[in-house]
Formats: sequence, structure tokens, C-alpha cells
Amino acid sequence: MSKFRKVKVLCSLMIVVSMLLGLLSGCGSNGSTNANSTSANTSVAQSSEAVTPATPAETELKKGPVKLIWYVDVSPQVDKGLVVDEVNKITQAKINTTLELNFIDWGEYDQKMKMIIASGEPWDMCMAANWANNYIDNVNKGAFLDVSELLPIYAPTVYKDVPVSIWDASKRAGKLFGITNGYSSNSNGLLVMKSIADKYNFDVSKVKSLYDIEPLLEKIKQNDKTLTPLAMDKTGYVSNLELTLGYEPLVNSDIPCAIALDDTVGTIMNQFELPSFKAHILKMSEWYNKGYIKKDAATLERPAEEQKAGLYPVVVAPMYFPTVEADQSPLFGGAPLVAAQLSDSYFSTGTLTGGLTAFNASGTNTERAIMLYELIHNTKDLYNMLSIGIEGKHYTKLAEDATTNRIEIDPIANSAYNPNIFWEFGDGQHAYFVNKGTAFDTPDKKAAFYAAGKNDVAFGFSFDSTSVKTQLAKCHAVSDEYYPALVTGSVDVEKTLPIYLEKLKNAGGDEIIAEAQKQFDAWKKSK
Amino acid sequence: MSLNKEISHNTDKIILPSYSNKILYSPAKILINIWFIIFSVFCILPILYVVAISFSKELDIVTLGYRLIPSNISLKAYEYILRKPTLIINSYTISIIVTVSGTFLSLFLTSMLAYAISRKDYRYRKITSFYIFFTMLFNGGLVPWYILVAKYLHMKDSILALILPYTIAAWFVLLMKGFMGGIPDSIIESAKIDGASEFKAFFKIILPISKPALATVGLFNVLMYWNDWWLGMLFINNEKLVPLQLMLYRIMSNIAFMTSGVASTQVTALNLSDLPNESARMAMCMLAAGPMLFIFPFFQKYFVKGLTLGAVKG
Amino acid sequence: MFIKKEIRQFIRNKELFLMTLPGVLFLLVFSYIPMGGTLIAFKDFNYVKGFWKSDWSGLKNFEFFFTSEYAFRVTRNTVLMNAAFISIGLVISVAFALMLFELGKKETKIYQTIMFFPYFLSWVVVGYIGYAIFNPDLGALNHILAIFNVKPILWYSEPKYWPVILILTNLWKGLGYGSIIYYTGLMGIDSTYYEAASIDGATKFEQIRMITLPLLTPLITMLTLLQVGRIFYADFGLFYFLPKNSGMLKSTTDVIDTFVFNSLRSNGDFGMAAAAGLYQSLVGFILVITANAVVRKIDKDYAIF
Repeated sequence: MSKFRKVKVLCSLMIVVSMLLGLLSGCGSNGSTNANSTSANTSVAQSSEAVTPATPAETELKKGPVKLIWYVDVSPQVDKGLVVDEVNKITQAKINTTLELNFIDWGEYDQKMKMIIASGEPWDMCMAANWANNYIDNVNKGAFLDVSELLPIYAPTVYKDVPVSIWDASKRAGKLFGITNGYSSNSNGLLVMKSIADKYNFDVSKVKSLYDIEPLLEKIKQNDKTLTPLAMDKTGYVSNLELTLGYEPLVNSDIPCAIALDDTVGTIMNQFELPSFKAHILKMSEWYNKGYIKKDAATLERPAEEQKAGLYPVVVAPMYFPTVEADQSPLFGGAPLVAAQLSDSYFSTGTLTGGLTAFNASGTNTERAIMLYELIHNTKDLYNMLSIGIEGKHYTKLAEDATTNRIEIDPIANSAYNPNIFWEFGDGQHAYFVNKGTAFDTPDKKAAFYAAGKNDVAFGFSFDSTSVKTQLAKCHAVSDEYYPALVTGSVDVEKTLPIYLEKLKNAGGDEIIAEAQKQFDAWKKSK
Repeated sequence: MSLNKEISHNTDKIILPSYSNKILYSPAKILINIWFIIFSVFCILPILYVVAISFSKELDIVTLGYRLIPSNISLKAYEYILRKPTLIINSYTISIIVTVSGTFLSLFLTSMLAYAISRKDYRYRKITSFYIFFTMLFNGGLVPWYILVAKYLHMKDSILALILPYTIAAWFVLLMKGFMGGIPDSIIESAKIDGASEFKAFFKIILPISKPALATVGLFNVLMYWNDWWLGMLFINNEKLVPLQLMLYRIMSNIAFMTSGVASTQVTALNLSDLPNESARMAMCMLAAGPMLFIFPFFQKYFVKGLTLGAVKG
Repeated sequence: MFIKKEIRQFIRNKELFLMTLPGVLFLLVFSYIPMGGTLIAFKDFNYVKGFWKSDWSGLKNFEFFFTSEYAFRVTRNTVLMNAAFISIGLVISVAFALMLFELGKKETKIYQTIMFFPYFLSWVVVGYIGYAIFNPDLGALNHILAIFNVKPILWYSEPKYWPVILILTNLWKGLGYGSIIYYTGLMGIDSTYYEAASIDGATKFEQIRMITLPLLTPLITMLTLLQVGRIFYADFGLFYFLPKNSGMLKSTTDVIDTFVFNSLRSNGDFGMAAAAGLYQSLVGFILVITANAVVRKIDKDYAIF
């Protein structure tokens, strides 16, 4: 705690100094603006070659070399060591920092981060989200550091590039506990391998709802014995599919606490009681029995490698955007795709927490970590290296575009570095590369599509579950048992759903909803 | 039932083999043999089944299911695994290092501890024995133990985390003590008369005559370290330190682990042979289980002998 | 005076003491310190504050476990499954040992080696074998059922079959070891007893009842007692890998160990998980003490301590 206060004092000192300097050098624009934005202006951009003496960043650098430990949810890559060595050359030169980058695979990340954080092991930065390494839980538990004051000072460009409304909505009780990596609105979509759609002459563009795909699934089942018609894992691919079912979960997909998308009053409810949810799992159960879904889906983790080998011709995509086909193609081994949009696009608190970089509340190098984030944000080579590896070894550069400052790349087949999740390393709206055959302005178009999303009723509200911890733990245990089976259609819905609802009630599900309602009402009033 | 009757019917004619091997095959003996042959098949068949799957053609598996006798023999699964063997070789190396060094360290410390408490003239014998035994009665559970190893001993992502937590197991100490308690006092006495220090007596005399016990406990150790996934699951993130069993556990739910980094094979036409999904898992399974199955028969002699001495007197 | 004597005694024993020291220290670190760490069950564990500075929370962490239906369910599963393992394992192991004992050395060795194979497989590998057998689409069992025109069974979502599956698997894996232990026990019995008995005209079964079993009782008692003492501890690997941690099977396959692990995984709450773990340790401790006391009462020589 006292260390934190020290940082604060230090920061305010820095701000004062930089303000003075700003005034002296004549570029401090409005002397009366608040300290934050002034300091942001002074050290904007060109952070690499900043010559202004004694900025807070420079003072920080005087502390000497730092090694940062960073955890991200990325499949382990054979050449990670090579890439990190190269990355460290840049970071060493620019901010005297080296990186210990840890990749933990999907499916294991959540559990491992819980252990790492809870046992107090050293780490500096980590990926947090609403779907893994839960952001809000961690904030409530005090695991993440409030960076609302450090961010404008040590990452001014990042701070400037993200709209203020997004920063505000990301805050909890006026404090910011992480940098959002992709402040995109959410919408659900469907991806179909083009070869399959063509083979059965199926017009994917006519698909408006997931259930419209049924005829295609049937044909695949009949004729392509080696394929599994619909990809499914134990999450049921429900995340964001919820938008098509008309609700937004406030805690987790498998915890009863949600708000309807068309809600105008602000009623928190149990989403599993909705007719739309029941209809959905009934359909899944029908498909399961027809063999469109793998029989052991309820115990499977996301089948990434199978998908890459083309074993799953139809996949529910958690995100839809205009260029999703080209974007997701590498995840299908490069096979051409056709996509359908299943839901409208919404901004929710959840979308802000779809991916964040958070900092250790008991870390000692947060300033440097934020500077690293800023450096990645501003440095094309660095961001690209983390995202796609080393040129010539992991990808081929096809073209370069000066206007958008992006390169067009072709990943080298079978290369040993292809994490394919660039947004975990930085701002997802500002990638410095596009995949082969994609227009250079695609990321901007994507950003524009995202920006056009509607704000849902609960945008900016986030639930503090501390007081219902026990109930939440009990509901988790109930859901562990029933939820995967239900959402994958593996069980008889008529028989199991009532039991599930009953058990959630016994586990205190209603108390969670009531507590959320109380907080929501208070939040609404304060708005 | 009929088996029982058969035996009782014939019992008066049987003379126990333990003191006579003259009577050869009585009906009861044949029945017992048949029973054990059936049971042996039951023991081995599942293992052979996995072997068969690993040599099956993926297309056959998908259309016909797992078969005990593959209709087409295919080496695709092994080819696929060994195409980029970096991670496999790495896991093998880790498992071997952990098993070998863990076993030696454990044997060394366990035998010293067991020897001291087996000595009737050791003053702190009783209290030390209880100190060891108590850890079998009560333990702190997963959570405090995890926090200790990860946070206070800083062994996260270190090969030590795969070795040290298992080094001293109370059960092994007691097993070893059972054996060493059977060493005649006269042997120790004579060493002492020769003026040997306790350490010298231990290394020069006790250890050499304890070979069966060392082999038994050693085999248990090898088994424990080689087959362990638990420590890896809890303490290892670094992909360079993933032991074999953990690797196997991971590919159960996601085969991508095995080839992670072997990214995006450009699939233009659908071609299943690119991913021998089911067979590759089973092939990996055999690669992980194989070494133990080969090691055991060589140790069996010692093993049975050691268990005899340890368990009966334990 | 007393101290002086103690010191002198210590010096006399110092070499042997030094021999025990590394082992004793290992146990201190990896066994005794975590025992103290169970206090975390009474704390509202906060990441930033750490172990020592986190606030005490009384019995709040126990609320999660004991007010849910799981406390009863996982306790029941753990105890019943272990009881089945112990009793069935004991009877069959002894029976197998007796049968093996009838055979010649060569056959015995071959059978023992083969029966030992499953013992050498890790639970992960056994999980794979289980998967090959129970896979609803591809597995052996549903193929066999199909031959008899029985509809395929979704093994990984039907909890009712699992107690039997778990018992059989446990037997399959453990019989080699169990029977060898009792076999060695049999080898320790003086053959003159049998010679005398057969001269007296005792039948085989009389011999087993009158000689073998009584002489085997100390070993049986000791091993059973050890197992009963651990009746509250389930074999994590068996209950985790074989049912593939499938949620649908939990009503029969969830045991205390898997519950602690899974609740740690899904809640990440160390305090709550530690509370369930402490319950296991305490009741397990009481059970082993009781079991021993009972045996001690019946016959002092058979007790472990």
C-alpha cells in the first residue's frame, strides 16, 4: 500500500515537472486543462525518440533494466523463445526492458492464472477477460492495479487512441484496472467452409439464424462421414450466441444473472428460464441425437487442431464483422470461408472485458509494463513480431502500405510461430498487418463496423459479486455438472433443465440476481 | 461355483506344490490355469487394443470405430507425431531426467532415514518413526501445499517442482525400514568393531546387502515419477518443462498441444490424412506408457523379493 | 544434569541423526508446514495481503461446502467407493494369491508379470484406454452391444454405470499388486503346518480355513487398516481421468479430491477449497485413529501404533 502511495506522489511530481517543461518549451496548449491530458500531450507519439528531458517515462528508465513477466492465453509455440529474443532486442534498446513471455493454452489459462495470482507468484502483466482469468472477479479480489493515473503518463498514445467513453465504461468505481485490448462491439456469426457450401449448393447469405443451417448439416452428416457437421465443445459456443437468444449475461455465461437486450426497465433475471434458451438447447439436443454434434462434446475443449484440419465445416463464430471470412481462414487451415451474421452488434460491459491487459496489484514494475504496452502500440515491428513472428521465418512480407502503415503477410506453412491472437499483445484496433489477399484498410473497416454497435442497457455496469461469493461458488459447482451437458444438447432437456434450474435456486442463484438488481438500480440512479 | 466344487472334490488328492512338485496337472490346477489365462488376456487386451488403434487408418476409425484388429495397418499416426518431434523429445527428456534424478535422490535419502530408524540402538528411533508415520495420518491438503511450493519455495516452472515434493514418501520409508530391520545386528556390530563410522558402515555394508529393497523401492519411485502428471499440471507452464504424462493429458482434450507451433497446414481439399486425430492420440499414449511396460519384467525378480521382505515384516 | 546427559546422548547418536536429517527436513517442508497452512481455510484469502495478512473469516469458507448438497454427495461417493475397493479388492486379491500358490513357480511368475502390467500404467493412460472402450461413437463396448442389438449407451453421460466401471478398473489396475502382497504372505507360512495338516487328513479348504487365513490375518489387518485409514482420500487419477471429469457423471464419480480440485479451478477461491480439504484431513485423521483403536481393542498385536 505504502509503495502505491509513493508511486502516486512520484507521479504527481512528474506531472508537475512535465507541465512546467511543457509550458517552457511552448507546446503546452491549454494551460488550464487537467494534468493528465497535458502530460499526455507532451509525451505523445515518438516515444522512442522523445528528447524532452526528464519525462516520467525517462525517470522510470533511469531505474535501470527491468524484466517483465507477462502471461497471455496463447497456444504454446515452438519458436516462442526465438521471437522473444528478437523482441527483447528492441525492448532492451528502447526501454531497457526484457520480457519473460508465458504462453498458456486455451482451456488451461483460466485455471493456471487463478493459481498464479492466488499464490502470489511474481508476474507483471496478464491477459484478463470475461471468459478467462475473469477481470471483474480479480478486480474485486484486489489482484489488479488501478492504472487510471499511470496510464495517461506512461502510455499517452494508447490513452489518446481509445475513445473516452470506452475508458469511462471500463472503469469500476472510477478506477481503471486494465487496458482494454479490443473495445469492439459484439455480434454473433456463423462460419461455413466454402468448399462445403458449394458442394451442396447452399446459400449461406440467406442464413439469418443458426437454425437455418440445419439442411446443410443434414447433407454433411449423410455424405461426409469423416466430418462432424457442427463444431461443439463444452462451452456450447454459447458466448455471444446469447445475443441471438436476446440476453447479455452479467457474470458468466453459466451463472444465472443476465439482462434482456431489449430491456428498457432494467430487470435482472435468470437467463436459463428464458423460452429462447430452452428452445436453443432443445434444438441442440435434436442435432445431437441426429449426430450433427460429437457425442463427447460436453467434455471437449475447443477443438482448434481439428478445425484447422477441416474436420468441422460449420462453426459458430463468437464475433462477426465484414471481413471475418479472411480473418478466420487461418484457423481453418487456410480454407476459404463464407460467413453469416446472426445477431446485431452490441456494446456491453462484457465487450470491454472481452480482452484486457491487466497489471499486478503487488507488482513492482507497473510503470515499465505500461511503457512496454505503449511501445508495442507505437512500434510496428515490435507489435508484428509478437503477433506473427519473424519475417522470412514465420511469414513472408508481400507488400507494404505507407498510408495505413501496414504490411500484407503470408504465414509460412508449418512455421513454428503462429499464435494468431495478435490482440492479446496490444490494441486490437491497431494491427500493423493484414493477411494475404486482405485490403490494407480492413482493420479500419472492422473498427468502423464495431464502432457502429448499439450500447446495451447495462453498458458500463459491472457486477461486484463479493457479497454473494458463496452463492456464486455453489452455482459454479452446479453449472460444472449440468451446463456443458445442456448447451451441447447431450441430455434430455425436458428432464434435465428443470433439475438444473431447481439446483441453481438451491445454490442461491436468486440471491445473486437480487444482489445484481440492487447494484444495477443504484448504478442506474447514479448515471 | 463349479470351480469350487471341483477343487474340493479333488483336494484330498492334491499335495501342495510348495513342498512337492511331483504331482503335475490335476484338474483343479488346470482350471486355475485356465482362469489365470483368461484373466491375463483381460489384463493385456485393453493395452493391445490401444496399440491396434494407434496403427489403424484414420478413415477406418471414423467409419468403422476402434477395432482390435485394424483392417488397414497405417503408420500415419506415428509419422504425424514424429514429424515435428521437438516437443515429444523434449517431454521424454524431462521425464527421463526427473525419473532418474528423482529416483536416485529419493532412494538415497529414504534408505538413510530408514536405516537409522531401523537401528534398535538409535535413541530417537521412536520419535522419528512417529514423525514419519504421522504424515500418513494427516496432511494439509492440496491448497496450502500448492501455495507453499509455488509461492514460498519459488519452484513454479522449475524442474525441481517435479522432483522434490515426492522425494520422501512415508510409505517408502516404512517399507525400507521393514527390510532393514531384518538385517542381523551382528553385521552392524562387526562393522563397528572394525572401527567403521556409521556412514561408512552404511555405505560399505548395509547398502550392498539391501539391493532387493533398493530395487523394490527404486521401482516404486521410477513408477511414481514416470507416471506423474499431477506436479506438472500444478506447477509447470513452461512448455519446455512439460513431462510426458502431462503432455498426454493435454492432448486428450486438445490434440493441438502435440503439434503446437506446427501451424496451419494449408488444407485446400479436405484431406483427413493430414490429421490422424484418433490414432495419433493412442500412438502418443503408447509412447508414454511403453517404457514402464518394458522395464518391469527385468526388475520383477527383485521386486517380488523386496516386497516379500518388506511387506511381511513391515 | 539432565541437559548434559541429553547432549552426551545426542553426541553418541549424532551420526545416525545426521543420516535422518535430510529426510526429516523434507517432511518438515513438504508435509508439516502445509499442515499449518490449513489455517487458510479460516481466512478470507486476499491476493495482495498474502497468507499472513489476510483477514480471518471464521467459518465463512466452510459455508460454501457444507450448505451445498455436495458435502454429503462427495463424502458418500468417496467413502462408498473406497469401501467397495477395499472389500472387493481384499477378497479377490486373497483368492488370487491362494490360487497362484497352487501353481508352479514358472506359471506363477508369468501370470504375476502379466497381471502387473496394468499397475504400471499411469491414470492418464488408463483414461485413454477407458476412452477407447467407452467412446460412444467408436468405442469397443458399444460395438459389442450392437452385436446383441442393444442400443448404444452414452457412457460419459450415464452416471449409473460408473460405480461398476470404477470398481472394475480399480481392480484391473490393482490386482497384480494386491495379489503379490498376499502371495508373499503365503510364502512366509511355514510349510510344516500344511504337512502336519495333510497327514491329519485335512481337506484343502480346511487347510485354508484353519491354517492359511489365520496366519494371513495380521497382514490382512494391517493392510486393510491402512486402507480404511485412507478411506477419506480418493485416488484422484482414477476419479478424474477415467470419467474424463465429465459433469454429467458427477453424481456418482465426484469425490472429495476431485471436488476440491474442481472448485479451486472454477472459483479460484483458495479459502473455500482449503476448507473442503481441511474437512477431508480432519475426518480422515479421526477415522484412522478410530480404526486403529478398534483393532487395538480386539488384538493389540495387529494395531499399527
